[in-house]
Amino acid sequence: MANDDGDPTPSGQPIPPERLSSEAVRALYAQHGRDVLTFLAGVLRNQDSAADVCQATFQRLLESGHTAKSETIRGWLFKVAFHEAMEYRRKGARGDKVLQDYGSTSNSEVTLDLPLQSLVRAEEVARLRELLAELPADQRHVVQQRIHEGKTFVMIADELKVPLGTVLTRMRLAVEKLRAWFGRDK
Amino acid sequence: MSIDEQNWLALRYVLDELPDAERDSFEQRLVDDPSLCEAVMKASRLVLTSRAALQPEVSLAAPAADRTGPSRRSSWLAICAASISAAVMALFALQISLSTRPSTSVAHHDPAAAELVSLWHSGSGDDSEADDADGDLADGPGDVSVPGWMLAAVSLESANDPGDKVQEN
Repeated sequence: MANDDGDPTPSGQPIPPERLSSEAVRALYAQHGRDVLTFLAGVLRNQDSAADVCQATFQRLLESGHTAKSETIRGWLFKVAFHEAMEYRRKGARGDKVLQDYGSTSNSEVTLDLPLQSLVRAEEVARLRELLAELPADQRHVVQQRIHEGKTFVMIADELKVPLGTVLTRMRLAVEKLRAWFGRDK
Repeated sequence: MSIDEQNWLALRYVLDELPDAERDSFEQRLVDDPSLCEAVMKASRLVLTSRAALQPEVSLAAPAADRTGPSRRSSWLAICAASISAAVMALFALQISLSTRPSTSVAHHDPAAAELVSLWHSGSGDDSEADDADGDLADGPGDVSVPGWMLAAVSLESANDPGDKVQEN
């Protein structure tokens, strides 16, 4: 059996016709890759790890993405990405040596080489900088301390000598304002 | 759970601010809830963009294709400017070294010329030096005062030919 492209594998065996082509996978990567990478950065809290897992996710798409419906491919990608992230975290917990083997896609006949996606865009940064300047001072302070300085909410509450709930409320109000101004569902 | 509640929970998850039990429960939900995954994605984007916006200077890693000419051109100009500056300084240093050694090279090769050069030097306003030299060397009344230029010529000659002994009175 050969697929529509008629691409043989290096072993000479034809690719099953149901599989997505490399071009189709690259197109989906261009469409969803940045969002998947951003999601993984939030789960793993490490951009290098997120990039590795993102590559693995789209490799899985090449191998078994044909099983997903086209209208739910985005949800399928997030689901697979999260599964890969948990696997990555489990292997990392077992030791660095195992983690080194994570990147090898042993069962794939075709290996994707996808371009890096930029997580942050200059125009979004510029816009958000303006929006942060419009926040009330107390909310902006909490946002800066938590996100830029990396202090926990407990540490910020201790420094400001206010209840933890006050800090959380200020942060929540600030984030809701930013999300509203930044563009809902952006 | 409302959208705002979900978004707030997702932000705390991204910031690693959830207690362990709550985090595990949240991750269990992520396995089969694409809308919750979207919330995590949006929270992550907000945090990453805010982090960049709060920095004094934002340096965004641009893809290789976006690296344009001006950055290369400016570095090339900087290299050229540094090279030109170095060359100018070298020429200036060479000029200074040449202007401060007018007689030595001449004296080394031609003693007669050295005498002429020393005469020229003494003639360009060195009378006070000659007087000082005379004063220093005067041992007493009746001694001959030797002009400075002659002493300079003699010292050059003796430097070139140590065998010649000059008797000074």
